[in-house]
Amino acid sequence: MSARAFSLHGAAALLALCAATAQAGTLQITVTDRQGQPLPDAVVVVEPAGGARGQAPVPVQTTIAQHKMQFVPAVTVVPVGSRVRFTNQDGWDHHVRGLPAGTAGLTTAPGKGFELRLAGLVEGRPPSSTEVMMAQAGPLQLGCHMHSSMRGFVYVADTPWVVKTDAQGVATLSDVPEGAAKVRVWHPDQVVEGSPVPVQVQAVSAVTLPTQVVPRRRRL
Amino acid sequence: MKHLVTATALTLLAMASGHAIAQTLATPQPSAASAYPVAPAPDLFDALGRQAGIRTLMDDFALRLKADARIGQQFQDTNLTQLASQLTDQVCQLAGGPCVYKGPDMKEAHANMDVTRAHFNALVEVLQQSLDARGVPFHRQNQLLALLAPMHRDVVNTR
Repeated sequence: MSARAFSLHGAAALLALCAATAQAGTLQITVTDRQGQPLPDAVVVVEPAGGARGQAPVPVQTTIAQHKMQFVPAVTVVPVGSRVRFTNQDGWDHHVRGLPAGTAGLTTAPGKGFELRLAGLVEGRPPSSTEVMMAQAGPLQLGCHMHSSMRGFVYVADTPWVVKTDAQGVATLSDVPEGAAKVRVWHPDQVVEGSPVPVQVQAVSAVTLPTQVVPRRRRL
Repeated sequence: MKHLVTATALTLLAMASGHAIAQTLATPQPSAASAYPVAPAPDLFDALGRQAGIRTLMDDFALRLKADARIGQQFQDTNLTQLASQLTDQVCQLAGGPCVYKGPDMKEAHANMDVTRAHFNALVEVLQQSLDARGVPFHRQNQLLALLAPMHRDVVNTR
């Protein structure tokens, strides 16, 4: 009796596993810039056909440092509801301002977004830092009121299928529903967002997405 | 013979490095930037009106920068008060004053901007306008510019 129950359970588990592997595919996306070179720090958003949104991603805790007049990392992707800790590693004061990126930032009502000031690092003491909860989905631009040349970005994702490209311009997403989907690419230096590209997600699939982005160079 | 040559070489090396250390100690060390091996002219700090005079100069300079047809665009989003305060600390220290500049070095500070030689030269001209407006004598202007000139190699990063 108990042996029979066990085998039934086993069969059900196996079936569930098969179903899962049959539905979920892995998608590797290579994003290139206007020159055809790999484009790092591009945010890739996969939207399966039929409007599937997947399970809400689990919020995380992460850190964005201000170091040598840069936000590090320059682009951060976090699930909605995540807590981001801003930490000043420079020996002078910084300020952090977060507003919706792009033209959306121009029409943001006063009082929206966030602003904070972080004192400079003093040797022998922990760096000053403040945590901010990312409550709203979408791209957010970070700036510093004191150093206007500083830029950083947080992309707040409300689906599990958002990822940024690495130094080689490659991003990999697993557990994407197989079948038709559209891929959007967002980059801090884009002039306008390109139209979504239709892709066919299979068990293992790879696509290359060319963009018109000319990435801004840091001159050091 | 061979030993003698080696010993002489070692002595020379030691002397050379000792000399280098003495030089480093003799010159003031403004920020962690590239070496600025220029000592300020005597009394330059006083001639510029000390800290308060330099601040007035830099407040005027920042306003002129933003209004300049050639490089005003570069300062469109700049916090002018912050800029003037940073420039004051830096110039005060370079001129032999008691200030300590705590900001980024000039390479880091300009890394996110594309600064050409034309930008740099335009900025120097605007600074000269501010110095003229404040009635700083020509030879004092030159003494200040001599302290700033070595920054050229760190600031200009675009052809």
